[in-house]
Amino acid sequence: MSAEEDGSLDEFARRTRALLQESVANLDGAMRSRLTRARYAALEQAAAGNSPAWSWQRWLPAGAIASAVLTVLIVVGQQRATPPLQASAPASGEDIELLADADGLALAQEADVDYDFYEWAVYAAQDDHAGVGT
Amino acid sequence: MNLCAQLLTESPGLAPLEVFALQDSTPLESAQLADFLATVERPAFRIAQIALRHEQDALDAVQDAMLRLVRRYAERPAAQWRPLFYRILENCVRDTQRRRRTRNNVIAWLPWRGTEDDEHDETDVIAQAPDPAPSPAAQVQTDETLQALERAVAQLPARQRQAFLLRSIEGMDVAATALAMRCSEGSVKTHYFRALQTLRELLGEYWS
Repeated sequence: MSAEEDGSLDEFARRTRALLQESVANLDGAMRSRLTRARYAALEQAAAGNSPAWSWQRWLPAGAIASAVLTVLIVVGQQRATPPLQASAPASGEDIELLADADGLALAQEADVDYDFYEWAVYAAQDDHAGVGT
Repeated sequence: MNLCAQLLTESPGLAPLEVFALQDSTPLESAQLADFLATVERPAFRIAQIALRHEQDALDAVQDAMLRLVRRYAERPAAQWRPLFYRILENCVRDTQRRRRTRNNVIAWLPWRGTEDDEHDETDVIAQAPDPAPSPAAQVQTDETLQALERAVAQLPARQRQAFLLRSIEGMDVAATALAMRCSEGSVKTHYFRALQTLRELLGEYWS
């Protein structure tokens, strides 16, 4: 580059620098005010961000997520550990008859029932019936 | 050890310092930091505004850079604050540009593209409009020249733009600019020189 071109570029640099620095100096009052507020906000946020309260608040989301995961794990673990309710054994024919027979059910629910007597009566009747037939 | 070597040694990759407490700093240090931010906020805003071509985005970038500096590097020697701050600011500017590109790419796929985006688009004439206050003809000419310069600077490659704005607006010397850009002084000179050449070609009509 020739000395003339070099000088021309220097002059261009000087003019651009002057123009840009003038634009900085001529920032309007509203923008200056916004910049001042931004500065104070940054300083306040930084101060608040280093307070003890902020220290534990920073971990709050992580703690909430950990608690939720732990709860899910506990619930799922309990569901797997608890055997599923066994289906009732298939009801026998006698049970169904007993449930269908209101008198029999009432009898079975009585407290002082002499089951031996009723058993004897049934066998005796069967014996009688067998004896008659023979 | 000079300042540059010290900074690069102590902070490779500018890893954020985990331990920092503004409340631990003395009132004098806090006041010193506040004063420093007051001195850089206007040139920083203009640098971000020219790079981003958007007032609110520039303001957000400056505030974000201030916040990061105060949180992470306040305990550094005051002499390091300026290059650190402008390095952070450049990262904020690039983050904003990256988000803008991503947003534009997403919006380009949407059927209703071009409606919401217009509010923040670079071509937002309201946001970019000059101050409506009446000005003399000379001021109009200056404003037009300045706007043309800003448009041209925004077209520069990022490193050239950074070198040009730091040297022109902030008035940094080559060494300080190299610190802020994390490159050698020779690279700064190259970027700055190429930026000037490109700008002069683009702005020929305004500077004749």
